[in-house]
Amino acid sequence: MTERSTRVACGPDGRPLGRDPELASLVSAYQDAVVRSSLLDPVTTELVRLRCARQHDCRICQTLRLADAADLGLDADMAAKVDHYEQSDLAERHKIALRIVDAFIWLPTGITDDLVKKAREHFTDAELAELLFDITKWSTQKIHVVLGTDGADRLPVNSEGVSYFRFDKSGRATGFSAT
Amino acid sequence: MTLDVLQPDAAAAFEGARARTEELCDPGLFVLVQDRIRATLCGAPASTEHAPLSAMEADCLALVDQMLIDVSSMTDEQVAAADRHFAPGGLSDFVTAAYLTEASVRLEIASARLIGGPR
Repeated sequence: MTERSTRVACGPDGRPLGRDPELASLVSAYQDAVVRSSLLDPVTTELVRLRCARQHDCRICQTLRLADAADLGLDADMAAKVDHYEQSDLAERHKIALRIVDAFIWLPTGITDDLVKKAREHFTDAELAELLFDITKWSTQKIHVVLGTDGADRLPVNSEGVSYFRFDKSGRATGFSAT
Repeated sequence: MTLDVLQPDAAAAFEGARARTEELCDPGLFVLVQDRIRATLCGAPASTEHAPLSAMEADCLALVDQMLIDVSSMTDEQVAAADRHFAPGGLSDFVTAAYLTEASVRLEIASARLIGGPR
C-alpha cells in the first residue's frame, strides 16, 4: 500500500471539514441501498470489493475483510488470489466477476462479446445489476484516495494487519474488529 | 431489463446523490467535467476540447483526468492545485461530483453491454 498524506482539512471523525452535509448524507444513503441488495453471495461480493481496493490502492479497503465472507471460507490465501485471478484456481464465476470489475474500472467499452456471453451464462440480469452497483459503491474509495482520507490507522487490526467488519440490515458498516 | 428496474432503490439513491452534486457545482465547470469524462470513457472528442480554460478549470480537469486514468498515482501537488480554487469542503464536494459523474457514465456503458442499459 502506498503512503499518502491527508490532503484536506478534516475533523476529529476523519471526514473533510466544510463538505456539504446533504451530499454526504445522500452518498451514504446510496451506499447503504447498494449494500442492502444481497443477490450475490458474500464471497463474490468480497472478491469484487478487494479487487476494487487493490486497483485503486485504497488503504482502508485493503485492510478490511468482510466477516460474512470469512465465515464462508474466504481466507488470506483466497484473498491474495485477487491480484492474479486469471492464473488462480478461483471459480470461473468469480473470475468472470473480476473481469467485469477490471473492465468497469479501466474502460467499460472494453467489455467484450465473450465476456458478455460468459457473464450471462454465470449470472442472472439481477445479479449483474447488483454487481455493477457494487463496483460503483466500493469505488467511492476513489474520493478518499484523492483526498488522502483513506488511512486505516483508526481500525483495530490483527497481526496480519487485517480488520473484519459486517454490514447491518440498513446497509451500514459495523462491528470493526481485529478478530 | 434495466438497472432502474433491477435495482430501483440503488438507482434512485445514486441519482439523488448525483443530482445534488449538480446543484453544488459551478454549472460551467460541471459541464466541462461531464464532457471530459464522457469523452475519455467513450473515446469521443470533447466538445470543449479547444475552448480556452481558466486556471480553475484547467486544474480541476487535470485532477479529473488523473482520477480517470489512475487515482492511486494522484500527487499532493495535483490535489493542492485544484484545492486552491475552493472554500473549505469545496474540493471534497467537487471530487464527489466528479466521481459520481464518472460512475454514471461507467454504469451507462457497462449496463448497456451486460443487461438492458441504465433505464
